[in-house]
Amino acid sequence: MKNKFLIIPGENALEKVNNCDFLFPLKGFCVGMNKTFSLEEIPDDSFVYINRLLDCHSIKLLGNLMPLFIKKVKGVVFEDIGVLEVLKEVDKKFITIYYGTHSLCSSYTVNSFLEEVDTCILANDITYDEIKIILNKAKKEIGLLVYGHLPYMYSRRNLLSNYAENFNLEKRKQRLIKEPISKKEFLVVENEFGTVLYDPFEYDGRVFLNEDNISYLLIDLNFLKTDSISKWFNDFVSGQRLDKPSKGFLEQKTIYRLPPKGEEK
Amino acid sequence: MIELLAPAGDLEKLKFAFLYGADAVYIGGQNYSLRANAKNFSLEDIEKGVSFAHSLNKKVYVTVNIIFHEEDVIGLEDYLKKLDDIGVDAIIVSDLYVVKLTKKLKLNLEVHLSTQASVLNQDAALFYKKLGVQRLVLAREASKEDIKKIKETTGVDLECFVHGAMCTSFSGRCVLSNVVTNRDANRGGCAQVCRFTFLCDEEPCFSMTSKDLNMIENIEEMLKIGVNSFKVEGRMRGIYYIATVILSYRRIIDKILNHTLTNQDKEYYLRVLNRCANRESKPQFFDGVPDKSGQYFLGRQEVSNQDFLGLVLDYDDNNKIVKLEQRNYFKVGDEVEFFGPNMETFSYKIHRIENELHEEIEVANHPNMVVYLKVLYPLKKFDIMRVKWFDK
Repeated sequence: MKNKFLIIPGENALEKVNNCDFLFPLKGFCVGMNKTFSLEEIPDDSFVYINRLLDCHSIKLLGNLMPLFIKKVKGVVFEDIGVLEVLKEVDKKFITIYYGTHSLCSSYTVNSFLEEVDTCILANDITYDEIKIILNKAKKEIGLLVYGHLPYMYSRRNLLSNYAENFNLEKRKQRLIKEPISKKEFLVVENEFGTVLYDPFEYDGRVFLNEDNISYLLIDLNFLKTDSISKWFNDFVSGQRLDKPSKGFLEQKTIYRLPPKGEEK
Repeated sequence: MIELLAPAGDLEKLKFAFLYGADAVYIGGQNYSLRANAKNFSLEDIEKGVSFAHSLNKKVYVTVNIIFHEEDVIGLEDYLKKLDDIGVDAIIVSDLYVVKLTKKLKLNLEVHLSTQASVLNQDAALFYKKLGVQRLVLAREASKEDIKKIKETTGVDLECFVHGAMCTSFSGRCVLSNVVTNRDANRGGCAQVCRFTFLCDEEPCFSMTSKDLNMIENIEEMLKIGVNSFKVEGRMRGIYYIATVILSYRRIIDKILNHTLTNQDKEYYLRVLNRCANRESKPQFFDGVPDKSGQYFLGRQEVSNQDFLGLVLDYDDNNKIVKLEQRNYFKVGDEVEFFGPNMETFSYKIHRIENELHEEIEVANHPNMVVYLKVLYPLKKFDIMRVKWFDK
């Protein structure tokens, strides 16, 4: 494979995979993750993932971790732009990767962020054609998610706990819900920092495996259990069929203006 | 600088917002705004609105806060230049490209960062401050500690929502609408899927609908910790809602600044706002993450009310006759009250109604019909008659 991969390992055993680095969700700084890691638990020279939007207290806690970051961390994938400011204060050059889960939707926006960070991971809700245009126009190499469950919503509220409390149900950290008209299902995952709604299907972005201008291809195994990450990876890149595949928004262009009355499809 | 910032979905609402006490309004143009299916403002309307606002020494901000896709960028530069030429005071943006483009074009208008950018900490605030953003609209999830810290650290102008509907998610961090209805939430097409109910195994239906935000009891504290602009949500709301909400916050803010605010005032305006709302409301994240009481669990829980009875068109001082445009059913014998920006709210029992031909009628039951009432207290055009529910 010509491109480099970042793999979120989930609860699977860590094993070396060629051309891949692990991306460790950082304990206390992530939502929607089954497995997170403290800095003590990860090897030196690792990538860490911070997907929370951080309040003032949390970003101060992150700042307190910087001495350990210097020792253990090579690169950081983050969603809160405040993290970049914290990293800039440290006397070490980290690889900075901004993940605009829903916000990096044009080459103009991507290039604006690329003036601030080393690379970006594109939004998950844009089409194949949009991604191709952005790849062609990006001024630096950029990243893409190629496998995982697409996150569709992130709330600071503890939606599952509130639901359980209200109806006096057993508290669970994951539930599957279904919108009855569209029949769309969502996997709801909660921790103390909030709730994330995911697509229960596996996003398949393998069409981008051999694209040019790629910094990292992101693989998120948060919800996948496998005996061997290495074997799963080899199967994945060689095109083996996924159990519940989804193309996400690759072929689904959204609209935002309703057609005039009488002209609806 | 302390500012009461109102939503305005069209020119009429803009005028009502200013008349009832707003210092500034935020509006959406025909493009690039997160209410794509609202009426919104043409450039000509924006110019009229700005001219009207500036004649009162007030301000107009225009939302340019979609997340841009490749196709949306076409025409943006010209649009920003036109807004600048018109004299718009600020644009509210969320996309970093628009922040940088506006600075590159050296426009006179200010750049305010939208709540869609989810600024929740001092470091994110500093990032945008360094780029020249003059004001931050903080994430609605910011607690009072967050607001205080961000102000102390950055000194930047802070705008916080104080009233209106809430997203269940962090604003801008949700594409449920895209998934379920194919309508792009971050480009103004949000179908409010978070207000739907969902099936959940054999359990009761799952719902995540947020109650509304209402900060009337916390304004004093917000002022103390450095909030500059108090923002009311609701560009799709009508003039009655805008008049009621803006006047309530105007009175509260003025009384705080004059050191005349009493608990009785707070209780009264809280009741007025609750009566006017169509959902229950809470202070939400100000004191920490809301528990289950911040949500509904049965999906949409909205009620509409018919409290808006009439709009004053004119008042004859000599004969003490008010000319009123009917907005909801009322009849002889009803207890009502009048309120307006330049008067104390007063109660009134309807003894006689005349139609446009000055014929006596018992009920006003046609939408927008013109009627005449004898009212001894002087009224002004754009004062409002509503149902009376309680005494002050």
